[in-house]
Amino acid sequence: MIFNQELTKSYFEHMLTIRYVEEALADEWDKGLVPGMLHLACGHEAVAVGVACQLNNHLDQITASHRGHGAAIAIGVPLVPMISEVLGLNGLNGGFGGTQHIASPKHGFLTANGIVGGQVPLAAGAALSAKIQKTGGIAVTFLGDGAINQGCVLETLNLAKILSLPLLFVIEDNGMGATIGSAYSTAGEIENRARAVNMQSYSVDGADILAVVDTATQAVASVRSGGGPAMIVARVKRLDGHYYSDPQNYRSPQEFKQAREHHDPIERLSSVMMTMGWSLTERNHIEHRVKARITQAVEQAHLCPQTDEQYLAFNVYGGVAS
Amino acid sequence: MTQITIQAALNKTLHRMMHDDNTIIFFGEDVVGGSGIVDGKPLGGMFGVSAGLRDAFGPERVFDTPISEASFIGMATGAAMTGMRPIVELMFCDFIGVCFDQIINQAAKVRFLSGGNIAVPMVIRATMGAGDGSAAVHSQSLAHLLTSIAGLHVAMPATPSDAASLLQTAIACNDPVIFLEHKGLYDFQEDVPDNLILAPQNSAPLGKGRIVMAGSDVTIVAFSAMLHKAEAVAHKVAKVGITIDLIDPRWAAPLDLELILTSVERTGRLIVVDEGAAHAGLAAEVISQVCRHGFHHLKCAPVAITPPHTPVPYGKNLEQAWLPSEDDIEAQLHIIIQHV
Repeated sequence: MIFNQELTKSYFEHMLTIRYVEEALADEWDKGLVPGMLHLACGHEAVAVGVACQLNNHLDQITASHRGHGAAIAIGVPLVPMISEVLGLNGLNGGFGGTQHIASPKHGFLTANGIVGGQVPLAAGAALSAKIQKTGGIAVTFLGDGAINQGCVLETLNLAKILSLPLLFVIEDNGMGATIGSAYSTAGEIENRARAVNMQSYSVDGADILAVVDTATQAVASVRSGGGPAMIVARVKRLDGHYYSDPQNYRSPQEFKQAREHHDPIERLSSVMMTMGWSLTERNHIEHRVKARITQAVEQAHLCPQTDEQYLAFNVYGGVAS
Repeated sequence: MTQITIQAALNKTLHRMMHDDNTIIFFGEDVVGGSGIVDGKPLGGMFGVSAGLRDAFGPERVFDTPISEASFIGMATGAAMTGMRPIVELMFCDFIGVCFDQIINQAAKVRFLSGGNIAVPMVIRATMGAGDGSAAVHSQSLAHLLTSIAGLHVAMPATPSDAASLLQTAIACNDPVIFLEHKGLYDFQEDVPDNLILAPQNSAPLGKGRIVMAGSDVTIVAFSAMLHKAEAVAHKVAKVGITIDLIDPRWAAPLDLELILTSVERTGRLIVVDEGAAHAGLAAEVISQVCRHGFHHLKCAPVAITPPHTPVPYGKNLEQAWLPSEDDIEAQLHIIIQHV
């Protein structure tokens, strides 16, 4: 695949947006302004952006994990209400769901999920709807390698295959489920789980956005054209803790240093672009622009009021429409 | 009037509703039957409730699933979130053990977590109930586990007429509804109006119970199959001058507390009969609510008639001993009537 400079610049900017939002949220957490735990997507940006750029957020639906901010931003969930939501204000979901339950189907982001693997069967449902309604849409579910050992995920690989659902499984394989390494927890290669059900799988370096785009282009095209479900296994490194402020004593300092130096998708793309004749000034210019935008978004997000307690029970039941 | 069984009432309702609304889809284990088997004949569901649906509505809307409850209940939830009205069959309510996450953490919470942006109009039909020698994990009555989860409705029809109208309401509802069908009642017949399935006025409103027999001495609240045992006892004691206000709540959630309280206000005596849990079950909940909100109307302590706090046994004598019986109800009636 040939990438022109405009396209690569836009990938850079999108990844930087995710990174800066995550860093800004971490700052808010440090100030005590985030109610719960933050599971940051730092290091996973290329997977979110590389897959989302192949999607149409009017037709397609994403479900994502507890580490779902990146995919939400990449598919086009508006930043200000999303940040308000993470701050527990009357944001995207009224402050009822928060960081692990971002949901905005009208922007192609059906829902994130607080249960590891819980989002995967839901995506099968979105794929089923698209298939029955013949919308031409597909569903994409983002999950970590930790989720690959959940029963409902393995069940859904099989179910999606036998029903030939337009569903793309995107495994963000960071090699860790919370504090446990996949060398311990996962027998065999993740790709074999797809092979077991005769599902096409693609392996890609998830820190290399251009490779992810290339892979996603093929996988999405195959799923969209009625080829049935497919799986992308994207190898990434988690550049932050399981949750923000996680001391990560379970991780070796060398491994973490290596991850930061060699598996940061933003730095990786920047190096490639430098070889394409990009200048540091140009990079700084984009950085300032994105930083300013995120700073402003956080400020605006704070202007959002809290949801009044009188609405606590408003969204539990819908009942029967009269 | 027509004689009809609960099984037939459900089947006819499904045909009618799916005919009228093509966003309704139907799937589960063996609901068509014979899929993947050369020259296999369709089964139409383990209890025949989905007979003919595949032929009427095609393979896209009616299909078998693998034995993967977590996955297909989750798929139903996702489909409901994106414009369909799925009806899924969980062959036995006991199987919620393998898909509980998708029911209590996903389906039940989507509306809340999305701040009201996403509705989940789905029906999970499941069988319940003991009496047929199916032993401990194909016989339970687990309504109480589900009623304690905010975001779910739980229907428990006991008659063909209610089976049809509650199902219509459940399908029309914009929330997940767990629809519990007692295995022992599928063949239960009664006369129903010829237009039962067609007349929307027959719809049982969400959360509304009904007075099955009016009386002034004792209120009996009986769920699902227990209703018929209580009704038999009520007819029997009427002959000795005891009149029963017999209530079928029809919905375990929302519970029609108003109907029950109004009755207790008249009678001052309450017996609750449920085939579910002896501890923290529907009987305990009804009694707790009545004590909290209508204590001053009570002449004596309310009575819960449930099975003992054990799993459902297999042997015929053991299972019969386990189930609440008409004798149990009658004995408790004669005790409670002494209190003035």
